[in-house]
Amino acid sequence: MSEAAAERSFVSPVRAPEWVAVALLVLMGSMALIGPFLVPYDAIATDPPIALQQPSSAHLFGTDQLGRDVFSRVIVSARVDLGIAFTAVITTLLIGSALGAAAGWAGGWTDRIVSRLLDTIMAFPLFVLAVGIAAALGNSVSSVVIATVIVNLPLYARQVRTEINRRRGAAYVEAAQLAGIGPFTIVALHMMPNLAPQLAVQASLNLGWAILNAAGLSFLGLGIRPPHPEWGIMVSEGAAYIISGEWWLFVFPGVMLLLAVLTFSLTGDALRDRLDPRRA
Amino acid sequence: MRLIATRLLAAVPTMIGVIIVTFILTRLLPGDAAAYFAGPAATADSIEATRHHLGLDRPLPEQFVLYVEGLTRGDLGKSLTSGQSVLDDLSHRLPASIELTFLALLVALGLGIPLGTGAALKPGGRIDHVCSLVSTVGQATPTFFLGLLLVFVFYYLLEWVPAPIGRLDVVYSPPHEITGAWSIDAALAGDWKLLGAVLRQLILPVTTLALFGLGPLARVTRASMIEVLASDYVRTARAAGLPRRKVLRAYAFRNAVVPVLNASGMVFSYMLGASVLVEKVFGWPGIGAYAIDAVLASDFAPVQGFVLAMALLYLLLNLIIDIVNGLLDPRVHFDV
Amino acid sequence: MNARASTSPLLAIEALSIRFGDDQCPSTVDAIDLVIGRGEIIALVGESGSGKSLLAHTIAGILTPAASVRAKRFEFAGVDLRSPQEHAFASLRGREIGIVFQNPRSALNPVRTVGSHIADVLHEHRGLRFRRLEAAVIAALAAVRIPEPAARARSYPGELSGGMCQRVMIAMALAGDPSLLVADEPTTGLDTTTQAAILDLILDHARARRMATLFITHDLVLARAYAERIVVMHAGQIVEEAPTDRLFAAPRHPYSAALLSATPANAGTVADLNGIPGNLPKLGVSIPACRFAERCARAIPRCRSERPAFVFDTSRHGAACWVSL
Repeated sequence: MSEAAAERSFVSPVRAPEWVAVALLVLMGSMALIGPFLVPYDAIATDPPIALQQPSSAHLFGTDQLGRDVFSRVIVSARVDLGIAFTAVITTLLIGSALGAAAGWAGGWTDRIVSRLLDTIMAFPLFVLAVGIAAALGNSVSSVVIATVIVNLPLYARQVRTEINRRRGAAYVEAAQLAGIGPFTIVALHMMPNLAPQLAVQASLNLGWAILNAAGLSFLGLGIRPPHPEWGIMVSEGAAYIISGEWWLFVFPGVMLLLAVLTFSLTGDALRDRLDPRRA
Repeated sequence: MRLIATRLLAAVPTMIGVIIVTFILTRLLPGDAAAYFAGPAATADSIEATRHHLGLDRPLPEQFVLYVEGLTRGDLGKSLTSGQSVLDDLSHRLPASIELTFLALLVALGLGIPLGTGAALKPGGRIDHVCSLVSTVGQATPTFFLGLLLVFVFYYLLEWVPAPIGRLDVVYSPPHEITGAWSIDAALAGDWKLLGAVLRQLILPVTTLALFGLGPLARVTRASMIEVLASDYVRTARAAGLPRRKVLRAYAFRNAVVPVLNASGMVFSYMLGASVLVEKVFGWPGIGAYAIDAVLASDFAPVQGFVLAMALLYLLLNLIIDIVNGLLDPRVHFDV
Repeated sequence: MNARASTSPLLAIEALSIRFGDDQCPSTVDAIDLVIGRGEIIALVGESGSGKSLLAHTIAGILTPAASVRAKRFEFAGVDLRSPQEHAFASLRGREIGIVFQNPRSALNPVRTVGSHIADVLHEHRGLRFRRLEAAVIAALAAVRIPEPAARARSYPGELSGGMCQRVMIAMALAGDPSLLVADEPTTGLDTTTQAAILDLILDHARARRMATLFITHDLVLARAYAERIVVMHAGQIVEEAPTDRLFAAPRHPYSAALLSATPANAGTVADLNGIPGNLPKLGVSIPACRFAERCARAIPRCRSERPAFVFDTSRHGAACWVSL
């Protein structure tokens, strides 16, 4: 066994699932960023005469019950769904880490209160809680985001809390304190960078779940209101037409949701394989 | 026994938190419940009267105290849309949800554990790849999409299952309710035709929900098995000349199952959440559908009751898992 | 197969190599010869990482599938064990060949009682059931000197001390009435009194059953106290083999001599203790033919290029060294 192979570096050859992840990332990214500028039809404009047409060369994914082009709507939805997911995950990452760091650093009552809060959140089936929060805050994008943020807090907060707590007594932390550096700086500049890889993996995997969460809420009628296109709503509206055989209304947005979640699952897995040497 | 008591005690502060959170959430519901209940022809005065009648004009803390008082009496309030007490509504609809979710969990375990075990016995082999694929794709598929897809394929295209309109086709009448789970009740009554009809309605929703939980369970089984198979005690068993089947059953499986059981708790929690979506898709008359309808009507008591009920279910299941764990794993008693 | 009757060697190994990876990689265990006679008590000594455990696992038939074995001869009681290994070993493991591991606590299944471990083995090898099985389990526990065997049989490994767990492992290994017992560092981690008790136990059984014992250790003192012959291993190569007294009186290989002088019991004062310089050679870097060459004070160029042949003198004392003492 050669020694070169015995050491796993970050730059090892790319394996099949990673290629798929990269390809999907590019696809999703372009849909979200430049898609709306390139779509052939207006995603909102209705055209009743051509309603419920099968996929064709003119309308790649067919038209829906109001004559709107499904393809355009699917592409434009990417921005909405991915935007919600990204916003939610970044926010929850920041708030969760802050909470976890505070609890891990201070201990005592801060820790107890934060832990109680997290335990309470985790006592609910998470989607149920999201439904409750989104319902309480009203039908809008922000309520979906807030619901997702709250529900995902324990994920990050606990990880950060454990790590900070563990390293609290480390020599370099003591040295920094003696040098007069304040706790905020110590945590932010010295301890958090160690956690960055873990959190990155977590966030990536979490993005997938956030997308499912948002789509699920919209499907139930708790998020974005029509006529704005969003994958969950499109599936919800398309559901009624299954029994009359017009499958293209719900299949295409559904598949796109699947691909979006898959993108971040695969990316998260790939990141984890590369960043966490223990898994070698 | 002591174990159960400890666990129950530990759950109390969490339950308090749950109650507080549920109360806060539902008081935030937008839409004026009083206006809704007063009716479309109401005047400002009658709306105010309704509000007073419902107790909605009292200060929040007072409302909370009243709420908790009611809880201790088992009173969860009244649903504005159905006119019944929430407790009644929930108890009528709960069995449908439990039958669905529980069956789905059993199916997920029944498929996931063998799949994960097969994958662990030959890492990198074909079963392993199938396991990986099913896990990854299964977890990435939105539950509602999967349900609709199954309906499209198996109802519309293949016509193998009946219409997804609830627990039983209209031509049949429900079985005499003993447990509330119609499958069990039909079997208990010996009515096999009815049982068949009930099961036919159950297939698609249960499959949808089960596929959702299959991924994580298979993954955990696989990881747990791999670790156990590499352990010292399995090595000892093999070195002692015990046959492969025996080693797998008594030395590997027993030990590998413990983490899987713990994971089942989490998976059940996800499934409870997903069941809300499944109930919507299949018109299943469970508490999930009940709650969503209530939400859309700004009817807060049912939503409160629903969230509370879900949290309780989750708690109960975790308790059961702890107990089973204690039975299976003697180490639990040494851990303090 | 009556393994004790005939006079031919019980275990005969010639030019056995164990390697991980393909043929280009240097083998972890490098072309060793080993012969164990019936009823012989042999100690295999060497530092950590010298390949002793790998060899033990190979003999017991539980070598990890990641490693491959190649040998000119690998026979146990006349059965050829070269390949296919699984098939040949199936009837030997636990029956004719027993093995005891170090870390007895982790080697027992924590969720099963001690009694069920032994019951499993007894049921498998002696076909006992129900009450006869129960009685045999208690008898087996008593035979390894566990007090209150009937009560102990219902205990879990977590409730027992390391010494007790080791006795249970010995009971498991002896259940099939093996003709060879491999003991891989059975007393590491136990306190001195327990160590002596465990080794006495093993030896008593070995003598009573005329069972050969391959006793693997890094502790020369223990080896001296219990073994008839000592085999010295370094970096996957057997460097010396001798009756115990002869090894301690006049070691022929520089490594054995160094080991002896590094043993606290031999040295008069701390100042006399000589460590052995350097570390085991890393596999993969260009490795000398005699793997001790880099650490040897007496090494000559031939040591690096040509592997020394193993040469026996008249009193069954052999060494592989171009510049033996």
